[in-house]
Amino acid sequence: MENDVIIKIKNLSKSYKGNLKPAVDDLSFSISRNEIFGLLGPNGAGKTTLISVLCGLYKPDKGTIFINGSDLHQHLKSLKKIIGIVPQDIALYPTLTAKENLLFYGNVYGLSRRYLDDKINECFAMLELENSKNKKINTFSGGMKRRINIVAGLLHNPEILFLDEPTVGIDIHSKKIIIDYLSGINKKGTTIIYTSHLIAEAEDFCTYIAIMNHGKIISEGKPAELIHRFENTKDLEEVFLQLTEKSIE
Amino acid sequence: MKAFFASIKKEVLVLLRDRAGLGILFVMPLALVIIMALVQDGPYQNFQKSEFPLIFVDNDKDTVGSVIEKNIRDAKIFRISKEFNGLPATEQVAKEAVSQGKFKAGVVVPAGLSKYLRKNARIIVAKTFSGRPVSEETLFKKPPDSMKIKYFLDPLTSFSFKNTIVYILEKSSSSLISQTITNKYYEHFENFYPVENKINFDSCRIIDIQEIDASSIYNANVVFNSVQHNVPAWTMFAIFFIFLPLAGSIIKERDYGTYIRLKFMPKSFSTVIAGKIILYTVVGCVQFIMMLMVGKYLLPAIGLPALVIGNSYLAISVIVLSASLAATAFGVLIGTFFSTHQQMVTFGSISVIILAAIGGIFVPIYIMSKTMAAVSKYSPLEWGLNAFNEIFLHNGNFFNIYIDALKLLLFSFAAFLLSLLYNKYKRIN
Repeated sequence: MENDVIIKIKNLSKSYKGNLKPAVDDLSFSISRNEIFGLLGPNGAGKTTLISVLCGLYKPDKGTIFINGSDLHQHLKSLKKIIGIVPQDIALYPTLTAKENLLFYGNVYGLSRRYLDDKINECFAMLELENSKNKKINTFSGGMKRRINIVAGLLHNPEILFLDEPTVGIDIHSKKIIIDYLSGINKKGTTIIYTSHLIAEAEDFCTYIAIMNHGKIISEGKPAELIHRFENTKDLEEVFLQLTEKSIE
Repeated sequence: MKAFFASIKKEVLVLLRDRAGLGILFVMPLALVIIMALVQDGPYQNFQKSEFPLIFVDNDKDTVGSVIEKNIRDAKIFRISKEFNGLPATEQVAKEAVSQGKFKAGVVVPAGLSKYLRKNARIIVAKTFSGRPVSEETLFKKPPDSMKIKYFLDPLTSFSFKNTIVYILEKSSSSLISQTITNKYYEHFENFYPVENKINFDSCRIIDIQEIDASSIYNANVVFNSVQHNVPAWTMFAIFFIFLPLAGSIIKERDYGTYIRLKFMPKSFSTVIAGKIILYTVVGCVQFIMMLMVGKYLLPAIGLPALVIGNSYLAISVIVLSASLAATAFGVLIGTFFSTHQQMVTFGSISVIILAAIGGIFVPIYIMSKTMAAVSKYSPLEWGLNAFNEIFLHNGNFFNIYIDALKLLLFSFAAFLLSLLYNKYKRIN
């Protein structure tokens, strides 16, 4: 079952009221189990909308999403249990401590207190946050907040983890800790779907990449395949520029 | 249940660490009740005690003048003065004093009015015994302007105040006329045979009136004063201001992104929102208890009357819970519909002020116009206030307030339903 499909999307479209063009336009693709699937694209390409639809936050206008063989919108509640999400925003309560935040989210998942204590301690150790457990989030640096934000999405050991720009705006040290940690959990069996503007980071981190623009996937493949597919490109950044004809912010 | 209790615990922690929110919920309402009760204590007392200054000009200096002065004094709502700025009261001086707002009213009894009354009474009696036919028109001439009792009022005085003055003057005139004519009849009959019992028929209360103190039927010794109005009224206002921290916390959840994370979670989002609803409903109840304590113990300590709360604790609990739930539902609705803090604060605050104004929080409904009194029936603040008044002033029980409680619960249900539908609509669109 190494390379079986965990997410299968067929003819998926999603439009916002008042917008003439769909944010996601008739997409069909699959994501293999245990993949680190990078979803790249310029601003407004439709990455966040696609992730929101894949997580069940928005209903698609048309198309189907199958996760582990089950229709997402028919089995939304049960499928949410195997999905973890790390939103782009620091989705934490700033006046609560790191531990209080994680205990809250863990309890909402229905996890036991003993399990949560062990999990929190383990995550804090791996993300080098042992001394910050009982500090309020509003006293943390951007990198520390991002690390806690990731832990909050992983408390229930999800099979699939969606990461929306998990390393945006943080220092190299925090970035390395996060990428190493995510690589570790992927090795333990978690499929990762990751969006980013940071093409170089995606090239190193992802095992498979899809480049989106105007709601469509314009190219996909393993990073090395993508680079070889286009002439005069030595890295993924040049591929990206060729495909999107836009500057990277 | 774990998610539900976790949500309550999280809300408690967030609220306890939000000093501004705590201030809005607990300090501001207390300040509001104390200040409003103190500010309105004067006007309420004025309405009930003899505080209205009245300038009295007695040019008659005879029976009519002294009877009118006595009747005005006996009304016990006027403070009579016969001079202004060291000058003895004349018609001109009185007019000037009232126009300057120094007196609420002026009354002028013209010179010679008692003599004019006695003369006309004698003529009326003579005419009735003259043997010639008389009618009401020929019995006496209408008095000239110089013989009319005059009164003038400060334009700021109320209609009921004017009615009180007119009533006293009318009552005094009727009594004087009947008594003077009766005396003239006695004098006429004494020409033929002695009248042994000269009775003042005015004192014969063949038809009498009796005031029954409504409070003796309901709550003993309850007077509708500043405290009885302001404590429940501003408590309702404060409870509805729960919307501010509550809707603020919903908008903050969206701003922080925690809302999105919670929406992705397997537990029903309404379970998590229920934590907010429970906490803020409890906050509303705590606010009420605090306000009650202020009304019962703090306000009397600063010279105001103590709040009387009636005897039905069941009715009080039902209405406090219903009102708190309605306020919480309103907060959830506002927090759901508005996407920015500024929109929420502006719309929410103005809405609560409008609902309070039409709901009789600022001024009691009985002094509103008919139209506004009818409109007030649609304000949830009026439902709560009406129920509190029923319990506090009329010693009402559950059966006297359950309709108001039901209205508040229906309002809550409608607001929650709208919020839920709007959330679903947003998910689809």
